[in-house]
This record gives sequence, structure tokens and C-alpha cells, in this order.
Amino acid sequence: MRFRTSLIALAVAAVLPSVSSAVEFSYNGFTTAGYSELDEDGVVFKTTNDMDGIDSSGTFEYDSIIGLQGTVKFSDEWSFTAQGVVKRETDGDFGPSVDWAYLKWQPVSNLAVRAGLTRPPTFMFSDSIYVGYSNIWVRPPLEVYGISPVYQLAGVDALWRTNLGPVRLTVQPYYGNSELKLPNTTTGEGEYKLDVKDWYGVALTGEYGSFTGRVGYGDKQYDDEHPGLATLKTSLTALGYADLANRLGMDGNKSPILNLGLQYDNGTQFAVAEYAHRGTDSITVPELSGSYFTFGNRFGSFTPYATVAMLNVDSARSNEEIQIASAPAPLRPALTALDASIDGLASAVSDQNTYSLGLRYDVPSFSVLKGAVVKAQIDHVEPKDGGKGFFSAAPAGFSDSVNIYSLTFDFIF
Amino acid sequence: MRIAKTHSWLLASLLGLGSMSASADIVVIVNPKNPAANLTAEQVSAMYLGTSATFPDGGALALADQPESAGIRGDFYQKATGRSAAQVKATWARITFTGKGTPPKELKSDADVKAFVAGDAKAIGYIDSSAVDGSVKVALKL
Repeated sequence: MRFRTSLIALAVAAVLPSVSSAVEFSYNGFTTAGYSELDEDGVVFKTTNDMDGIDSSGTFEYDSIIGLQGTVKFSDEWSFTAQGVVKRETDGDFGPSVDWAYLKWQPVSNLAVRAGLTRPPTFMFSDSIYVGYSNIWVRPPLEVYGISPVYQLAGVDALWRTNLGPVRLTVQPYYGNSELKLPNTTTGEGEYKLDVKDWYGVALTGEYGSFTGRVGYGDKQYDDEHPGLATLKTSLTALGYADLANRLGMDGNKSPILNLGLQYDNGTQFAVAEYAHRGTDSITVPELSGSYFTFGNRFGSFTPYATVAMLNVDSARSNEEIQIASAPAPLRPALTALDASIDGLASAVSDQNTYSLGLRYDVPSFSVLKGAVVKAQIDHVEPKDGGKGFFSAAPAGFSDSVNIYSLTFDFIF
Repeated sequence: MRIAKTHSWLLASLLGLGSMSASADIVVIVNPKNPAANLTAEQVSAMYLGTSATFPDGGALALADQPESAGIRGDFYQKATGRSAAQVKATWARITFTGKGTPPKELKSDADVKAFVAGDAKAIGYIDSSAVDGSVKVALKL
């Protein structure tokens, strides 16, 4: 059913160029087919937006995606672009969704204003994480890219380019609303959608010779509570901890993200480093810092690369506010259980380091494929502090390092 | 490096060997109405890598490209940007799918690029120097 919808969209896209004469129509696409597995039973690698991830039984679905973009250009100033993707959605099913859809007004060459659905530049490669062909890695380091679970902006943004002496500067401010999509892992089916409001930010990018520097800042406010926390909050309030209950969970929480990035690329050698920090008001949403450094060298069509990435949990991983010992004896079991629940949420993530090695091979282009690459990557993930790092699941008492093996084919057409 | 090359080209011209030497050169061409008299390789690189959406004077830009199968394409990108044609393609894929720009228009030959540049005041292209005529203006010799 869902595939039928996308087939119709494809058919419309194919017919459009012949029926339009006054407007210009163009379309492009990208796709990634990938396989990944890891070597530790019971451990799952995924972002908080995914129902399923990479585990020891392997998956063809986690990195696989098809994207198709069509642009209708009405004039030099006005155009409309829509990008649809077919991938595994938050609810765990493969299906189509609209990733970008915006009206663009470009009054002069160096200024564009867009309204609609876009992907804000939270991190250096946030807006192109699905375009595997353009990216160095199989997937961007989760230590940085995993700390912002909200991707899609319904609002406006602007792109302004100017020269500051020898530095080419790009300024991209944005404002709008969004949704946080989380899988319903309790039932294993469906997803929660939590409103996100007042999402604003700006990215400044400066390019000088082989160097690119970047500063990004954004803030947003969650405007719904995660349904899974309702019972915990009600129970806490009932037992006299209303203030603590208000500081748990998502609703009202602000999550400002600061990002710094530096790239060097002389055509043969390249290096990329990013740092990101996520603030929080909530006890159960940890404050995080992530960073990585990637270095690569191009040898003709082959590009080996290496990455070191680090995640640090900056907030306390347990909460001491519940006074169990001084509470009336009949309440103690309930308070002990609530205390354990809060600590469980606060310690869901622990520090980790990841060391990755990868190889990119640019396949000579042929036929309708304008470009093709093959990437193989090994990630060695070391969770710290007796936790499970950024893994979403791990067996009890887990204290091991994990290797993730990935092979992807990326195309553009 | 570039200075040395310019000198040898000058020398060759003086000796009347211009056409021999020139046939191996790539020239960046603009419309004769374009106020840009000379462009640097750095400026051309910024335009063809999508980091500059205008000519250095702020004028609007229409980029022309050669076919993927043409040898001149790889040579041009290597000389002007220091990057391979494949790297440049990955860069434009990122720009395209994030809505930040439109890749250079791919044309079929030197003659088509020349006609495109001659017919559009905003245009820029690159061709073999032996194909240059009065319909276009050479802004950079690579």
C-alpha cells in the first residue's frame, strides 16, 4: 500500500517533464544498500528514533535508504523542492516519507529563503546524513550525531553567503516547530510523536583555502510528555515529590545544542573534527558532550579513513533527592522503586569511546548511475563506567567492548 | 608552478609555437559582457565547488560543465580545484540534496560550452584553449 503511493509519485515525476513547458523540472536520487552486524549477543546499536538497530543477527535495513528529489523552478527567484525517502521508519516498518518540501525564494544569487520542511544544520553534516555517497563514513559518529533526536524543521530558514576578506562566509538561521518521534518499545509497535516548539538556531560556516570552520547553536522546547513516564510522574506527585516529578521527562524541557566543527581538505588528505554539547533541564535527559576526529587519505579511487569518537555524560547518573530512610515505613518500598526508576533513566547512557577504520572505494560511473561508492567500516565501541555507553540495549552485567561491521553501497542517479 | 607555466606559454607564443602548446591547455571562459577580466584558480574553484554562488563582483552565476566521459573534465577539476571529478560529484550531491545549489549544467562538447557561454552574460565554462574564438572571453588559463 505504502509502496503503491511511492510508485504513483514516481510515475508523476516521470510524466511531469513532458507536460511542463513554462516551468523547469528536474529530479535526482540517491540510495544506500547496506549490511551491518555486531559481535555481542543482546547488544543493540541504534539511535533513540529507531525501533530496531544493528545486533548480532545482522541487518540489511538499518543503513538502507532510497531518496528521490524533484525541483520545479518557476523562475530565477522561485522554486519548489520535495524530497521523499523510503527507509525504515521510527515504527520499525519500511515505508515512504517526505523528508524535505519547501518553497524557495532567491531574490539574489547569494541569498535564499526557504519555507516548509527542511533539515536544520544542527551539526556539520546534519542536513545530508542520508546521502551516503557524499559522506566519508558509513554513518556519522553517533557520539555527536546521536545527541540530537530531532531532525526535521517545519518552518523557515535562510542561506546568506558573503565574503569577509578572503573568507567565504555562509550564515544559516532557522526557526520553526518539529516533532520528536520515538518508537513505542513497550509494545514493539507504533511510535510516539512529541511536539517540539520554538526551535531556532543559526549555523555560521567560514571557508578559507583548504579549511572550513563552523559554529552552530540551536535551542528548542519539548511540548509533550513521553507517555511512558506518566505513571512515574503521577506516583512521585502522590508521594509528595511534585517538584521532582516536574523536573523529569520531556515536557517543557529545553535542549540547547552547541556545535563546533573544523575541516581540512587539500584534495588528497582530509581531517574533520566536531564537538557538540547538549544542555538539559531534565533529570532523566542527560547532559552530553560528544566529539570525534576523522582523518583520511585518498589514493586514487581508494580512501582509507580512521575515526576516534568520544561521548561524555556530564550530568549525574543517579538522583539523591528521594529520602527513603526518613519516610514512613509503608511508603519505603514504593519510594525505593521510584528512586530506582529515576536512576535507571538518568544512567541509561554512559561514557563511551569508539575507534573506527574504514575504506571507501569510488566505483567508475556507468550507465544511469552517476556515481557509486562501496564502503567497509569496522567500529570498535568501548562503553565506560560500567554502563552500556550509547547502546540502546545490552545484557545485564555487560562490560565489554563491541565490534560493528558494516558494508554499504551508495549511489546517486 | 603556475608562474613557470605562464612563462613557458609566453615563450612558446613568442617563438610562434602558441598553437602547439595551447592545444594542451584548458581555459576558463566567460561571456564578453562579463566585467570580470581575470579570475584566479581559487575563485574558479570556489564557484565550481559550490562555495561561491556568484562571481567575485557579486554577479549571478551559471556554471557549465563538460561531459563525464570527456578527459578535459577530470583535468579541469584537478587543475582548478585540486580535486578529482568524483570528489567534486560527491560535493555537488551534498549541495543538491540539501537544497543549497544546483550543479553545473552538463553540456556535450567544447562547442556547446562555448555557445552556452556566448549566449548568457552570467555563464562560465571551460574548454580546450584551441577552441577559443571571439564569442567568449578567456578569464583564466590553467
